[in-house]
Order: sequence, then structure tokens, then C-alpha cells
Amino acid sequence: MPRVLNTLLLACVLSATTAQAAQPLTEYDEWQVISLYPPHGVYQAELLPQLVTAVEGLWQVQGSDGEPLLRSVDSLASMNVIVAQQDEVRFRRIIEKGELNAAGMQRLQALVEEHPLVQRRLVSADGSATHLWLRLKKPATAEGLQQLSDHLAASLNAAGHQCVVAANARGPLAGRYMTQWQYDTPQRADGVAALQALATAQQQLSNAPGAPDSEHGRNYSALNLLSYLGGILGGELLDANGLPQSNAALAQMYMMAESLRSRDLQALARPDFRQLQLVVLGHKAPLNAPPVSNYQLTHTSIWQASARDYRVLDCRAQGLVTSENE
Amino acid sequence: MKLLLKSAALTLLSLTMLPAFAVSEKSIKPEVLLEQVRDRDDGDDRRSRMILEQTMSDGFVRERELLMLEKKFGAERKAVLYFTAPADTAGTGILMFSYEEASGKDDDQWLYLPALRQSRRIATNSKEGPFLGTDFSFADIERLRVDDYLYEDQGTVEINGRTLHKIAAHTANGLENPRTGYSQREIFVDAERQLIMRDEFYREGRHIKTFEVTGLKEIEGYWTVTEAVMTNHVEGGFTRLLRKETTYNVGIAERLFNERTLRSGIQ
Repeated sequence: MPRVLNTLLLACVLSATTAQAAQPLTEYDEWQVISLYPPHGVYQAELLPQLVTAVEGLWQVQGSDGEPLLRSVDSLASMNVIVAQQDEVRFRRIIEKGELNAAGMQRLQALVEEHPLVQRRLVSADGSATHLWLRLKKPATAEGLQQLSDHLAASLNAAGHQCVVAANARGPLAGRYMTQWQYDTPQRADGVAALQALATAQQQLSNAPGAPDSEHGRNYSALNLLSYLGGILGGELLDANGLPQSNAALAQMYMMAESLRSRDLQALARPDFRQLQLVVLGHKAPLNAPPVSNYQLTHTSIWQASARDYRVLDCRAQGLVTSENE
Repeated sequence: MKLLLKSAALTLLSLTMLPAFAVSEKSIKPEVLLEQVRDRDDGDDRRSRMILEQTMSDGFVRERELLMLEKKFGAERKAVLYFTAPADTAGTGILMFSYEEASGKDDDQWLYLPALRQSRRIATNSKEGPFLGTDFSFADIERLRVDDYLYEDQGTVEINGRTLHKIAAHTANGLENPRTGYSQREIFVDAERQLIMRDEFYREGRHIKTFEVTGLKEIEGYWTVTEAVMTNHVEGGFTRLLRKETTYNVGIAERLFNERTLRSGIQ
């Protein structure tokens, strides 16, 4: 997710100069998504290493110019996240091949549910499907997505599965949106105050008509990631509402994330808090951006599951029957 | 700490000391030249003040100041960084141990957060990510690993009045090195001073970053990089690293390189 937001940030920075006075820029996001239904759900120790190999293989898919199609991929099989493990804080792959025993699978499942950048973005609520968020080097096309989906299917089929790329987007994200708003303020802002403003905006967004239910998505911002990081550090840096206790506590949480080489936090809120991101995933209709106190909305980016931007890779036996009958 | 003491590559951290034996600028294999850079003598210890000045693509500048202590422990290198400014990060400390390349051991690191009043061991399997949020990656500043790439001697070039060896480096399979995130490099080495003066980093054929030494000074007999810049061609920003008040071989106590001292800070 961080790469995603970084890329978006660049586009946003470019657009911000033109958007400062008038309407915020709205554009359709270049994300493309593949939802994968494994045969027996996501949390299968045998499946996960195969998934890692298959996702790594996507980098070999080339366009007509001989260059890799892919620019980035956010997935269970490719992302790094910060976790607490015994007395260490680690920046590690979500799937560690050496930890796929029963205890490791439990930890993985807990991590998916706890980490605000993973959750419903990468795994469906019932654990039956996992989502790969792709960015291509060139403008997104249905052909490119199909090529990547076919390659993923071939890789998994070579490992003994029977996966079919569904013709219609009938996966868990069908009919859903992901919207990302960027807010800017001209001067360095007070970090804790900015997070309080975000908390209010997120609450408002959660109560808005059409907001996603917890089964399909949620909204998130740097506030959620900071609450998560504060939690794994023992909670001492957070107040009763889950906000950093002070700007010093906030700066040190950034320091920890940065010392681990994670970009996630910087992507969601720049360290000077002049720029914030608010993301909502899983809504069925466009949502209005909630106001963030002392900030101006400068950019809106929308992804919608569509024939161009969404594919379903079904490796379940009944899925095969369904797609063949379509 | 592959980081600090001998960061061949970036030399910011690694400053240098001239070798006792002059290196011939001709007919030297790139691998040998880079091994000399990697194994350059930086003294037994070093103390310096560092400034990390990060300029983002929109002109926003973030500056951090820190005190850095580095010391050799046999084949190991240990370093400790204390942030002194800005105020909200003052007192934060990072302790880093780096081990011989041949040992295959990953670095050990501990972070002390004054707001928590405790240190935590931190670990990452990613070296391509940013070092403390800057345009330098961890892989950029760690000790050079010669085996990461295959090399080709491309002759010499004159830059700023110095003759530099130009070396083309690429991974064996042409794909990005998972540890560094780079697939190709163009390295410019000052053989006499055993320093990398310029380094261009590529991924999948795309020029993504450029490292340049912009300040160099001989301090106590060691060629010391006093200023270096990493320009990020992808994100548009750059980071300037300044090293000041550097002293070598001052007899930094071993006890300063442990967790307990990290928690109490340097007086």
C-alpha cells in the first residue's frame, strides 16, 4: 500500500499546484485488482508459498516492448509490514515461508485482521479470497490485467491447482469502490491536532450513508497506522482514544517506522503534517469527502471494480463450474 | 553498521584513510578495486556530528542532527547514533552492529525512544527501503558487498580534476538484487583515495538515484567525506548528508556501544 500511495502522492503533488484555489482534482485511479479464490481459503500453509512464487512471477510478464508490465503490487505475498514479535519490532513479509506451522498461521491471520493496511484490502472477511492490487507501468488496460491474471493462473495451475480467470467480475470487490482523498495545508501543522481532525472526519465518514460495512471495507488514515504502531509498542505512547499522547511521541513513532525502512506512515501523512491521505475501501457508491479541519481537499482518486480494472481468479471446484457455465 | 564505519559505497558514513600502499590506477580489476574500497582503513574509531537534510520534491526540507560514534571490534563494526535536533526527536538513539560479509549474519539494531524510556530491538528484512526516511537506502550506506554484482572496467574519466575509474556493475541475472533493490550501477572510484565518488543506481533499466560526494577533506590523515548528496530521480527529492567535527582514533569506550548506554545517552 505504501508504494501505492507514494505513486499517488506524486500525481497529487503535480496536481496540487493547479488545484489550490479551485476545484480539487478528481481522477480514476490506475489500480487494477485481481481477487483470488484459493481452493480451500486463504489460510492454507501449502498454498501460501505457492502464492508467493506466483506473485513474484508476475514481474516476468512483459509488454510488447519487452519491458515488465508491472510497476508495483500490493498483496499478501509481497508486502512488508511492521509487527511485534517476542521482544523485537520487525519489518517483515506478511507471509514468512519459515513460519507456516499452526502457530504461524494463527499469527498471520491475526496480523491480517489487526493491521489497518492489510485487513479487507487484502483478504475478504470470510478468508475465502485474497486481493492483489496492481499498478502497471503503462496506462491501465484490460489486456494488461488479463495477461497478468492468466500468468498468475498458469503459475498456480503448474503447482497443481485448477484456476480459471472469471469472465465477469463476480468477486468480493465486484461493484465496490476505493476512494482516496488528499488534504493539504500550506504550513507545517501540529501533528496531534491534525490526527484529531482526521479522527473526526473518519467518524463522520463511517456514519455517512453508503459507508462500507465492516465485512466489505473500512476507512483508514495515518491515525489507524499510528494506533497500530503505538499498540505494538505497548500502548504507552497513546492516549485513551488511541491518539499519540504528544507531538514528541508522534515524532518518535515516525522515527521507529523510518528506522525500520517502512514508507507506510510517510505515505499516509507527511512528517510535517502538511499533507494527509484518507482512504475508504468497499463502498458501493461514490462518497463525499468529509471535511478535515484546517485542511483543504486537493485531490480525489477513485478505483472502481470494472471490466477493465478487476478480475477474479477462481481456483475452487465449484468456481470452475460457475465460470464455465457463464 | 555495515553502516557506518565502512560504508564504501557512500562514504558518507565511511570516510576514509589513505592506504599505506599506493594503488596503481592502471590494470586493476574492478573487483579488486572495490574490495580495496570496502576494506579501506577508517581508523579504530570515529566521532562526528551529522546533519541529514532531506529536501522533498515540493521543496519541503526536513533536517535532523545527530551525534555518531563508530568503532571497530575486530571484524565487526559498531555504531551508535544520537539524535540531537529537532527537539521532538532529541534523545532518540540507534545502536547498530554489523558483521563480516562472510559471516552471513544480518545486522543487529536497537532503537531507544525517550518517550517510552526503553529500547527495542528492531529488525527488518528490507534494505532497499529508506534510511531514516531519507533518499538513502540502508543498502546504500552499509558496507560495500562486492559479491552483489558482476563488474566491467570502463576506463577512467576526469571529474573535478581527479582521475576516477568508471565501473559498470550489474546483477548476474540482470534482475534487481533483492537485497539492494538495484539491478545495475555505474560506479566512479577514486582509486588513490579508495573512495566511491559517484554512483548511479538503476532498476530495470531506469536510472533511479544518483549519489555524489560533494565535499571531501583530509582529516588526521583520513580522507573524509564531509558532504554527500543522494538525488532521487523517481520521487524528485534529494538528501544531503553533512559530516562535521570529525575526529579519529579518540579511544571511544567500548561501553558506549551497548543497550544500557543507549538508554542513558552520551553525556
